Amino acid sequence: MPSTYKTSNSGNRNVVIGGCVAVVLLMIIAVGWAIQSNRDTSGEAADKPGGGSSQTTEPGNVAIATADEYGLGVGDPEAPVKVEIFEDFQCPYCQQLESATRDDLLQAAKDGDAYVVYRPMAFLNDYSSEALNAFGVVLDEVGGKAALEFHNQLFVNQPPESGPSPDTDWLIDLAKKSGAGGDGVASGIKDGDFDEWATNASDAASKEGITGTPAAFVNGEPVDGSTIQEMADNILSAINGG
Amino acid sequence: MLGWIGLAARLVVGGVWVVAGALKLPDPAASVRAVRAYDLLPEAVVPTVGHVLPLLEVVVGLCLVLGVFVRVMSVISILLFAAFIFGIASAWSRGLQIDCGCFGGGGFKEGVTDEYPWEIARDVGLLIISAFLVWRPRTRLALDNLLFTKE
Repeated sequence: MPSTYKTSNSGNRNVVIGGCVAVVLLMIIAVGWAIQSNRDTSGEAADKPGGGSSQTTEPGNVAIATADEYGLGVGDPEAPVKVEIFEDFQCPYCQQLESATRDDLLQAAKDGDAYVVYRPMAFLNDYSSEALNAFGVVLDEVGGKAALEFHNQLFVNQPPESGPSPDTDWLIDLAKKSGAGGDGVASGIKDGDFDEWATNASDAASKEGITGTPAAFVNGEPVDGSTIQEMADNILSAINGG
Repeated sequence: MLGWIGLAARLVVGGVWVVAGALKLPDPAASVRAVRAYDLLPEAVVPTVGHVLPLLEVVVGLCLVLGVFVRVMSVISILLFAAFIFGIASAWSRGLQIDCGCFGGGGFKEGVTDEYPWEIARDVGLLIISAFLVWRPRTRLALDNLLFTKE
């Protein structure tokens, strides 16, 4: 029967073509996978700001230093209450939380009531990463006091999330206004000396279960709030209650 | 007529996959964090899923748009949508406030949980369109028609 012969022939042809297309698709995915894991540098070795020794003390007698590799600790680590705030320099809600708590948290740290750890991370856009790198540079080159001031200034002068994002010269300028001038700061911000540290900071926060910012913890317990103001109130009342 | 409906179905589902995958490709680290945020998979496989999933989405999407392996790709599409619906529903039931990361990105949003039902409805709709293509994979203007002869 000739028709049988023809059918089996076209069946073979379909199998060969289908096999070739399938192999090509699998190769695209395999090569793409290799490229993507190569581009994801999370967790690779990075310079860390401060090296743990750049403790700076203000006239108000508050210690400001690197904390847990990726944080900026304000106050005495032995204080009865530990406040941890995860934040992105580009996040508008973080800016709201900042302005609602900044002064009270600094006062609580000065009074020895709280140890405040700011844990910046970068996950919103390129500006987030550039600002976090700049923060790392300032912390490393100048120290904790300038880093805290720069951190505050970054939130006060936060650019709109929808853009346009400022360039690195703007960050260098803002660092200078925060007491962190000098060629080392400028070149570190331009060259992205702490880019890898910034990537690792975000990765570490993600592994700690942080899925969005701001996220606040008091003595390890997450602080809730249906609004940012409520969150701020809960943080401050936890300090006064503790 | 069903062939033309099939073409439209391919373009809609395939187009969504291409866009969803392509938006995640530039930042593999963010994609890994988005997978981790659901807190459903063991950490050992989270980076792999974060790196491969966007590629799979783009490949499935392009194949559907071009009409290559329509039935197989539609089955994969159904499985992916089922996984995403499960993930979002699970995040919702656990009260997690996460941006689904469906089209990249992520972050804290006030009332983000209000979006969960819409995200699930969208994925269910796309799953149904994918199921139609499993049922009727022969569509107009598909490369399948050139590559494979009818048996």
